[in-house]
This record gives sequence, structure tokens and C-alpha cells, in this order.
Amino acid sequence: MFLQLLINGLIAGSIYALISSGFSIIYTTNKFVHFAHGSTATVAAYFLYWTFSGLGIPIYITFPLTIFVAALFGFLIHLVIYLPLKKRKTSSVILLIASIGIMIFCDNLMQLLFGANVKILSIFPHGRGIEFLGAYITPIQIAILIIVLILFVGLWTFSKYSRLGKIMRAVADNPELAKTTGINSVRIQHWSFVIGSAIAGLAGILIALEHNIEPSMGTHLMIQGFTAAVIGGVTSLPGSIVGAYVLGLVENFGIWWLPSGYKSAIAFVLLLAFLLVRPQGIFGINKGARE
Amino acid sequence: MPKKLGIMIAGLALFLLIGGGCSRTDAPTTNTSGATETPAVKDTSPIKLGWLGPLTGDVSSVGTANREGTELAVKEINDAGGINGRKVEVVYEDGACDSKTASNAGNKLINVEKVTAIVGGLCSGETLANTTVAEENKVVMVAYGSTAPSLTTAGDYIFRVVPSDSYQGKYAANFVYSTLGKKKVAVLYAKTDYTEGIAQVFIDEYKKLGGEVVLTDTFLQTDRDLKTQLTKVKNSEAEALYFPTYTEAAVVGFKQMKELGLSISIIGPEGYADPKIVAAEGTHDTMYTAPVSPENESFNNKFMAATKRTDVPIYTTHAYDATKILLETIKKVGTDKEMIKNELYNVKNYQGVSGEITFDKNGDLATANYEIMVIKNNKSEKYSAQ
Repeated sequence: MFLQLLINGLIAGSIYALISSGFSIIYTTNKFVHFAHGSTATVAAYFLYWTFSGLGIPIYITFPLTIFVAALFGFLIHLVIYLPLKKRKTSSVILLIASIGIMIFCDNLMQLLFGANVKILSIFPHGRGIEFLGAYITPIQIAILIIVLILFVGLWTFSKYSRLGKIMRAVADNPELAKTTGINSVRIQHWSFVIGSAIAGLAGILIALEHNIEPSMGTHLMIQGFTAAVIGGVTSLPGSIVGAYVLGLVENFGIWWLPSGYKSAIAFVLLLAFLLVRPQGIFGINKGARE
Repeated sequence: MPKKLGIMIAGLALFLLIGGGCSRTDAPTTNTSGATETPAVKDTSPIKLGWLGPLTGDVSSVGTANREGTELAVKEINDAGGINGRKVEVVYEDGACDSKTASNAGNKLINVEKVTAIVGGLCSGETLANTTVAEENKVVMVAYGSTAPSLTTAGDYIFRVVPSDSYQGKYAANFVYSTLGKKKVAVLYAKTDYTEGIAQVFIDEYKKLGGEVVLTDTFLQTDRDLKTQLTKVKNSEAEALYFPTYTEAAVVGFKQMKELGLSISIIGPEGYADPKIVAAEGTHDTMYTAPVSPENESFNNKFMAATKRTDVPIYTTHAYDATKILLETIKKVGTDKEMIKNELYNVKNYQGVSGEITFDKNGDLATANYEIMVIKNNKSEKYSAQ
């Protein structure tokens, strides 16, 4: 039982991490809450459904294509909606409201295009999970765990050692100072949207395989992803991933004793506790950003 | 930092507002004007009916078929010349199987569209969200799929052509305890009016029979990860699981049961007849209770010909009957709302396509018959003990 709950918590945490890490990348360089980030995953999942189930394109083409489309989608949102608003020196509250508008629009657009019914992607045959010391785990779930691990290491290396990663951290730390050293901060913000949204695209694929596809999936994911990012420290990439695992584990172990109806309540109590006691999160620092 | 914090909390608050759609509305807004139409003599204006059911969201696959049931009934009446020379018009509103959406839809039907009576809703939450406004405005509602026991005492203007789950939950408990011989069960249900009501009836009856409920747990209808709840079920000593939920959570639930290797008997309510559940993975050998519906070949053929469907989804015959009973009552007594209500209580042994309909003093069906269905290779068939 303990091991099964641990696995359940880790899988839930990995799914939250896929959302929270991209969200965190966008947040650090842009300094506003991009709630429509979950919708990027929804759009990606529906795109995959349309190309794979609708047009019958094989997965080795649709998977990379989906990630590309998600990145493009994020880039376009930034270019068409956020950037003009930022140029008018709009406050981050207005940007937040705009992002909620985009989110509601996307959810409803997907519902209009594909209907409200849950869509099931039957790419891999589902079946009984693999038994491991009395606990069960399916190949897709193992894949999710491994992919998130690779992603985590990759992102950390990227932000710590690559040129672009370093510049991103510089912009995150102090956009004005970065500008004076000749860094084009708008270009970096574009890049953060592209990378963050590409991760959301990957999230869309994996979640479509694990939880099926429906128009409101992005909104629900975003609540958990956002909570995870705040717990871990929204300005810290490793923090947002650790926060996701903390949330996944606490939720799943919490309902071991508590009635399961309290699952969301546990998440929100944790969020409020962090906001009150340690608003910068586990890994966050008060100012700027870490790797 | 305080500014950023403020933004986050503001964002969260907004989210809770949006996410609140899944919670139950206890106090639907009501219009207190309560004006009744004066029945016009020799009126040739159309008679306006309201229809309420899920056209989007969970269960919309059933709701859209039920709408076609009503459409067929109305078309037949209109083709035969309408009611006393008046055509029938229906305003269709989406209740989304959600109390808040349904409350808005019901208020619109009653206060804006000023309908004579309402066919609906399908989900118990949809109907329950509108009982107050319907009572206050004296608008009859004939629900065609709402089975929650709490609807029995919801008001004089609330009727339904489906039996209350107080019958169905008991029937399921007896089946599990006596026929299957399972003396220990787990109950896992979604927190909605319908599933909570039927789960409670099941638990009470099962305990009365002498069985032991080893685990009771819940989840939100919007949850898509039931792995931990199912892990708890698996580690309890339950020999069977009673699992009342609406479609979308059921589909992931069955998949996760299979993944976790949960192999005990699964029993559910009539909502499992949704083709989406029957066709889902991991549903093999799942059983569910369903109201006995007389095989009505002529209706089935008529419906399938009119809609180009290949089957008649659950509650379609009930939606058809609810519409027909209302219209025949209006034909008898006119559009006076109080007279419609009074006349409906006189409906006895009405031969509908969903079965014989007699309303009792609460507007419930006076009798109910159930049978057990079992899903085999993604097809529903009648249960027979091996």
C-alpha cells in the first residue's frame, strides 16, 4: 500500500511538474502569471488527437509536431497579446486578467471544435500495470517518470551552463540591468515562452495518454501546476519541480487517512500555508531568480 | 514581494470562482415576480415548452440523444396539427449536468422565456438546482433522468418519469448481498447529488441486510486520477465495489482499475448504460442496475429512422414520454400552470414507451422495476447467474 501510494504520488507529481516547470520559466523572465499556460497543454493534446486519430499521421511525426505547435502557440500568444500590452506599460494585473481571458477562450474554442466529450487516445494498448513489489505501474507511467527526470536534468544544465540559460537568468534577476549590458530582453522573453510552451506541449502529450483529453483539462492542470510552483518557489526552476512532487505526494498520502474528497482541499491548504509562512516557496529567494 | 503575492492571491481567487462550477448551488437565484400568464381564449400563438439537459460536459452524449427524444415527440404533435390549433415550440437550454449552469438555464427558461412547463433535467443536480424557482413561479418540471431520492420531497411542481434511486440503491444492495453473495463491499462515489444519493441508499440497505461496508470514499466528479482511492479499495477486504459516478470519471476510473490490477466485482447505477462507458476500456464484466424498459421496437425504429442513430441511448424514451405526457395534459386543461400540475397527479397507468407511468402523491413513479445488466466485450447484456 505504501509503495503504491508513493508511486501514485510520484506520477501525480511528475504531471504537475510538467506544467509547473514551464510556467516557472515563463514567470521568471516575464514576471507575470501566465495562467493560459495550461491551455497550451490542452491545445497540444487536441492537436495530437486531431493529427493522430483524425488524420492518421504516425506518432514519430505527430509527437515532435505537437511540441512544435505548442511552442509556436506560446510564442504567438506572447507576440500578439502580451507584448503589445507590455509596450503600453500595462501592469502585471492586467496581464494576468488577459491570460485568464486567453485560457477561457482556448477552453471554449476546443469545446467548439471538438465537442465536450472526453476523447480517448488509443496509441498504446492499456492493460494491467507491471507488478513491482506488490505495487503496479504502467509503461506510460514509467515513461512519464523517466521523461520528467531527463527534462529536469536537461533544464538544469541548460539554465546553469548554456549561454541562453545564463542570459535568461540575468533577465530574470534584473531586466533593466540586463538591458544596459546589451541583452535584448524581449528576445529572451520570446525564448522563455517558446521553451516553456514546448514543455507544456510535452505535458499535453503525456497527460493525453494518461488521463484522456477534455476541454477543461488545462484549467484543472494549471491550478495544480501553479500551486506546485508557488510551493517550490515560483522563481526557481528546480523549486517548481520539487514543489510539484511535494504536492503530488502530500495529496496522495493525505487521502490515505482523510476522505478522498479532501484532495483539492489539501492542495489549497498547503498553498495558503506557504503563502503565509514562506511566500517565496521552498527554493525561491526574495529577489530575482536562481538557476 | 507583497505586490506579487497580492497578484497570486487575486489569481487564485479568480480561479476558485471559475472552478466553483463543480460545486453545488444551494440557493438558486429566483425571480419573485411570480406572475402567471392569463390563459388566452382562442389563442393561436405557439405553446412554449422549456427543455433542460446536458448538451455539453459530462454526460452530454446522453443529453443530446434525449433532446432528440423530445424533438421527436414535439414533431409528432405538431405534424398532427399541434394542440388545439396551437403549435408547440421548445426552448432547449444546456444544464451541463452541473447545478450552477442548470440554475442559470432554468432561470432563463422560467423568467425570460416564460415557458409553460419544463421537460428536464437529466442529471439530479440540474433538477434540484431549479426546484425553488420552479415552485415559486408555479412551473411544472417533468424530469426524465433525475433519480436522486431528495427530489421526492422537492415540491409539488416537480415530477419525474424515472424511479427514485431509493428503489435502485436497495435493488443493487440486495443483488450484491443475496445474488452475488458478497458480504463485504467498498463504496466509492463521486460527490454529486445523484451519486451521493444512490450511494447512501445502497449503504443503508446493505448494512440492514447484514453486510459490512469496509470502505466508503469519495472523489470530485472533475477528478481524473482515482489511483489512490482505488489503491485503498484494493487494500481493503472488499469483495465487491459499488462505484456510482458520471461518465467521464468512470472512463478513467475503469482504466486505472485495470492498471492497478483491481479484480473484484464492480457494480454501478444505470448511468453506466452510457455508450461511452460501455465502450470504455476495463469495463468487461462490470454490472449495473437499469430500470426495466419494455422493448418497444416500433419506437426504437421510429427514433433511429428520425435521427440516423444506430441505438436508443438511455433516458431517450423517458424524455419522449415526459414531453408527451406534458403536452397531452396541456391539451386537456390548457396552459394554466396550476391546472397542469393538478392534472398530472391524475395520470394513472399511462402507457409510455419507457413503461407504464403512474405518479404518486410526490410526483414520483408509483412503481419501479429493475434488472441487472452486465458489460461483456463492450456490449451490454442481461445478467444471468452462471
